[in-house]
Amino acid sequence: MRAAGSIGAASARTRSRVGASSLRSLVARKGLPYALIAPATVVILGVLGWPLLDLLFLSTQHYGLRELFQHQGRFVGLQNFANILADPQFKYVVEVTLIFTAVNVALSMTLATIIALLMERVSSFVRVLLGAGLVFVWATPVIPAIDLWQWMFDYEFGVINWLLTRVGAGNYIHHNWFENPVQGFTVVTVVVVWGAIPFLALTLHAGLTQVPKELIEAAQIDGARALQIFRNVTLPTLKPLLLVLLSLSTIWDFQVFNQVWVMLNQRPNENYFVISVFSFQESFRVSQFGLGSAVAVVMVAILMIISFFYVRQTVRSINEAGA
Amino acid sequence: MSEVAGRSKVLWSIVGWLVVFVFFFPVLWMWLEGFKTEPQAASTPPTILFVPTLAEFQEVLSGDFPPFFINSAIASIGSTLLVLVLGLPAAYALAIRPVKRSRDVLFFFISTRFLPFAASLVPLYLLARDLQLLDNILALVLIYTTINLPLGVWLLRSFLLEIPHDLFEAARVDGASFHHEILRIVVPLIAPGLAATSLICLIFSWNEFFYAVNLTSSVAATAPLFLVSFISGRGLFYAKLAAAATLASLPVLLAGWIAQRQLIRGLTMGAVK
Repeated sequence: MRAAGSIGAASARTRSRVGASSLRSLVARKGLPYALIAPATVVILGVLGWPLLDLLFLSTQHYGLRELFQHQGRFVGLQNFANILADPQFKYVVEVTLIFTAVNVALSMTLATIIALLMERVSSFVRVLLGAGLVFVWATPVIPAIDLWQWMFDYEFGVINWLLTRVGAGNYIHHNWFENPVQGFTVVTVVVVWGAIPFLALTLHAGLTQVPKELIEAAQIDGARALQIFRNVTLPTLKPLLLVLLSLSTIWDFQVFNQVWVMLNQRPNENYFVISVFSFQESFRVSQFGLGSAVAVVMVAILMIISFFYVRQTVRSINEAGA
Repeated sequence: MSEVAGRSKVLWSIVGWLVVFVFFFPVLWMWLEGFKTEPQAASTPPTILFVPTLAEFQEVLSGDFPPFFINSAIASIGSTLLVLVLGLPAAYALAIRPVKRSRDVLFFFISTRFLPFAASLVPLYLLARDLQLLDNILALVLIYTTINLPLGVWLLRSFLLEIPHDLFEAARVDGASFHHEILRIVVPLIAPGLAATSLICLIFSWNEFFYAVNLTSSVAATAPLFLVSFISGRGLFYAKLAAAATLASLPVLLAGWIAQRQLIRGLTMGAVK
């Protein structure tokens, strides 16, 4: 009985193995590429795509604390959007975020380009030194880096206040940088730009080494000035790379959260609400998850509008470079 | 080299020194503070000459830091392995056996890079709650995998494209099975690519803060959360904070130094080779 059973099982196993191998050869011919792509696609659709759809759905719900416990929101149509668009604070948030993004992107791109060009002109020892400094700053994780700056700007023990007072820039003893939002955002900008420069500068430096030397020498022989060479030879070669960096910087700076959040002790006041902080605040501090979702939807929309052009260009240039 | 050019190089080099000093100063300051005692670290004017001590490092390592460190390691290594397991087959299909829709699939993968991932926080939070995954390291593993996967696929594909196509033809003529092809040809040839991709994924997950702070609280909290928890103790634990921050940045510092060229290639999605 037992023997018969095991023989039966064995033959079934053989049969299924035959079935599997012919299936496998069929898959290998036709469906293999699809079968290989499917798992990654499913994960991305599940963890990235589905939540974004859910976000759209949530933005049409009234979803407060009660709804949170009931696991069920209440449909209110476009009411959340009407509320935030009528809210003067939201207008402030969007303006501040756009200005902040523009300033940070412009500053970090400009300074990074200057540092990259500088790296071309220094002796090889200083170049290695610059490279090492950039890599170390880059690799310092964002939270320790923010901690660091926070305590350098600390009003009581901060080395910056001490330094500024010492060099005679005025009396900065016990100066609180975060009392005035313009000063506060300046500090945040310093931190964001400082953190953004290494990657941008190292990348641009790598890009500069790809600019054909013969072209530059030919231009020099023709008597072109440094600025002319930069504009007519260097910039066109770097253009695809600059586009990639510009779009990445815009996306990163538009959704800055950590620097604001941690610099202000995880309790930023209303003056410091950039859009990601505002969305978080509405959702998790005020417990209006529907409103927070509507803010997030607006955030995605604004980013899509700003970056549409860049992204299209970027994808095009990446396709040319990668394919 | 002419004398004028030589002099201008010296001048630029001096500027270079200055830039390095100003730029690198904060990191240097952090490293130094970790070797001070607490009163030295908090003094005004700052203490510049001091006898270095390892006391703060010892205290951090013997205290409550290790569990956070371990959580970070699990989230980083787990998500990186998943990216490789899911990403390599997809990259292989896109690079070696492209189908009609490959371009669209690629475009889909790369376009997710341009979404503000922070926007999905509320739906992901509710999803994690419904699946009982709040304060569970598994949630972070899954999210980090998803954030890194598109870039991983893209990068692995670009490395696979560099393998001469004849190699695969020859292997197939010899009757090599698919498994054989992957394990004997693909993996050894793109080992540097696998390493670079892994490093990029590791660095990102090691540093990630936004999702960690919102989806975990105590059991699954990662190293960045430990560092933030210090800040509430203002003015008292600077040396300890510096020591902890130095320790937390050490793995990434090493990885970044080893793989800077590959990192640039990865982060620009191949625009720089």
